[in-house]
Formats: sequence, structure tokens, C-alpha cells
Amino acid sequence: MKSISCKEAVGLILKKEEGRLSILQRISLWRHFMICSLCRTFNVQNTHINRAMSNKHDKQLTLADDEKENIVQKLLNDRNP
Amino acid sequence: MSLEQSNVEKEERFRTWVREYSDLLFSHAVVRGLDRSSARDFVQDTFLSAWRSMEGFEGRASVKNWLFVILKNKITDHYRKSFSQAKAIISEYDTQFDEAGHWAKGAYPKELTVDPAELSERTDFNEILDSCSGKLKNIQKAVFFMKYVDELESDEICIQLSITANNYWTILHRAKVQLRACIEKHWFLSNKI
Repeated sequence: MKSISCKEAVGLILKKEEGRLSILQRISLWRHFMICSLCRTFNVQNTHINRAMSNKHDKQLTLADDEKENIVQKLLNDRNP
Repeated sequence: MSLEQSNVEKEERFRTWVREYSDLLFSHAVVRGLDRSSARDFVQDTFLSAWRSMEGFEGRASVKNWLFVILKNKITDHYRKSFSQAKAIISEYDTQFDEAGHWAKGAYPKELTVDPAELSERTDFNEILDSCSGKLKNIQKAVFFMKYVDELESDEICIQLSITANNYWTILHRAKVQLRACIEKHWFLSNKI
């Protein structure tokens, strides 16, 4: 089996997130991980970036009261051009 | 009911909606990679569209969902329009791999000096992540946020953004590699050991 480059390994790591790897691709990736600590590091960091991204759901920001009032005023102006 | 009465009623209704939902809409826009001032403009536009097309709401169960649909469509449109510009970019990505497709010297992924398990909870890490993801090109942002924040499947993202599967994987690949490199760079700048 032909070995894969790091660039290809990164592509497989991303496809793996969606469960889209064939058995051969899974073996290629695994074999690459065996010999490449750089891609192992990439893989670990990738997982943590993804986890941090999905936590962002909960992040709560607020608009200032005057910004909210501005929104309402623009609506009222729209009614009376 | 007189016209004046119904106008007053409409105004009251929107005052309530702005009070209840503008923060949620605003947070959503920021999480999807817009800076504060663009996010605020998008929220404004969302309410304006709602204001002008109240009939769009009739029959819907939830005001909140209706407003969110309007906002999401606006953001997706915004990112989709900028796709053509994104094709020509020569980016930091090109310095990450050598010609054989191996990590280029100087671009080797380094371990961040912290327990990886607590990384995603750390404030400093999340600040760097926000700042780096803010630097992605628009189309990269669109793909990235639809995938990781909205948690859509790639097929669905391709349809919404009118891109091919090949486009999608190329965009995601570049976005992820650039983002990781940016995070690593800023991490070591702010955590000199």
C-alpha cells in the first residue's frame, strides 16, 4: 500500500470527523500516525479546537440598551419615511 | 381597530421582541465569526426585514425561530457572495506543506504547553481561537461555523453555500490548517516559557 503525505493525512483526519473513511483510508491514516508525530499532534489539537468551537453555542453576549433603542428607532423611521 | 391603534400595537410588539431576542441574535452572529459592529448591523437588518414582512410570521409558532431563520439566511448570503473572491487567495496555507506534502520546516505542529484535556475550557485559548477564526476568509468562516457551531453535515453545507464537495473539503482543509497554525503562533507569543 502506498504511503500518504502529511497533507493527505490532514485531509483524512477531517473526513474522519464525518465518519467518511473507507477501511483502506483508515489503515493509511493509522500507518501514517505510527511514523509521524507531527500529524499525531495535529490530530490532538484538531480535536480540541473542535471541542472549543462546539462550546461556543452557549456563549452569551449582550447589546447595550442604547443599541437596542437604536434598533427600535430605525424600525419606526422605516414606517414614516 | 384603527390604523393608528394597530401601529402602536406593532411598535409595542417589536419593542418586546428587540428586548427579548436581540442579545441572542447578536451572540449568534458573533459566534459565527462576525465582528461586533457587523453583528449589530445584521441584527438591525434582521428586525428590519421582520418589520417589513410581518405576514412572513403569520402561522409560525415561534417568533424566536422566525427571527433566527432570517438572521441565518442573511449571514449565509453574505458569506456566499464573497466566495468568488476567495478563489484567488494565496494564503499562509501555502507555507505549511512542502512540495511532497509533508509539513514544511518551521511549520511543524508543536505541542501546546498545557494539558490538552483542559485546553478547550481555558479563557486564553478561547480568546486566541476567536481572534484567529476571525481572520479566516469569509467562505472559510461560513464553512467552518456551519460545520462546527451549527453542526451541519457537509452535504447540507454544500447545498446552502452552492459549492461542490471538492470545494468544501479544500476550503475546510485550508481553514483548519491555517487556524491551527495561527493558534499555535499566538499561544507561544502569549505563553513564553
